[in-house]
Amino acid sequence: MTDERVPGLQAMFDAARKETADEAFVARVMAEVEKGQRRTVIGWIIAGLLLAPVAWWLSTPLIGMVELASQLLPDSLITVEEEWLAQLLAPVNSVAGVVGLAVLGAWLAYRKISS
Amino acid sequence: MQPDLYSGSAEALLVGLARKGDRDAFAELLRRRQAWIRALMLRCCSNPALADDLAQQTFLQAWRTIHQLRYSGRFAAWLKRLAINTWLQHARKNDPLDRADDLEVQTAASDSAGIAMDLDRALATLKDHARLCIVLSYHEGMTHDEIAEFTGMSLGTVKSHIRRGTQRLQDILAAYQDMPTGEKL
Repeated sequence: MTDERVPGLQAMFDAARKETADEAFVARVMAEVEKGQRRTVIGWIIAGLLLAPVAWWLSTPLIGMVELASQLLPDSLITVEEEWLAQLLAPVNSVAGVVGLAVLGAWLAYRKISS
Repeated sequence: MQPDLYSGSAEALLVGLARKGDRDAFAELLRRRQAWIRALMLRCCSNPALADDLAQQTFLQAWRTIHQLRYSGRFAAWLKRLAINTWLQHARKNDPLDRADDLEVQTAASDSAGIAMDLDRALATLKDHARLCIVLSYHEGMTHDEIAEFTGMSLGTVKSHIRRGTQRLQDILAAYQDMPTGEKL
């Protein structure tokens, strides 16, 4: 069977076609849209209120971790005696450098997999 | 909501604004497309209240996901796809309605309301997927390939649904042999 249609049946569908605009329908849908947006805002407020004590509770250990990281990240992996060479190799010869390279590698791998 | 704010705007512009969260632009899109989607849903389910409910679900889904629409010019096709998915989800969730298997259309009504009623009663005897294929073909004028692509059914299944559905409708609507349109059923 091709895409051809039975003319008589097509005529019935055409005769039965009735598209009427209904402003009340528009109002109903938009009321639901607004209700949904209100629900979203209320949801975010509740989530914020619930997360605030958690954030407060976690703030002390988080600050401690940041302080530890700030002390650890610049540490050299290999001790280099020459000052100028130590400066030159600092971007890779440090915990921060290794972490940076690892993040870059992971991002490139993700790009390759997802493309 | 301001009905006249965007009444003269191009649809692609309205879609772009709606994607940015402009409710008035979306309301204008809704105003322009609601009659079409409601008519499509009505042909699919024959129940005006259910058709409006499904159309409403379609538009709410459109509002929630319009930011995912890449090309503003494809809004109508995208909306139709949402409507079809809404209908398919409804069909999957609900047991088939009471089918009027023994339905016979005794008299050929001459007015469009009567024709619509008889057509809907005849369509109600088809299974949901067959009915959807018939509606998309005859009501929406879609090709079999397009229907297969939109519904996720195989082309063979679509052709089979339309062939059998058409035959069944012809049998049921035999009373319309001498339609005022002059077309033979």
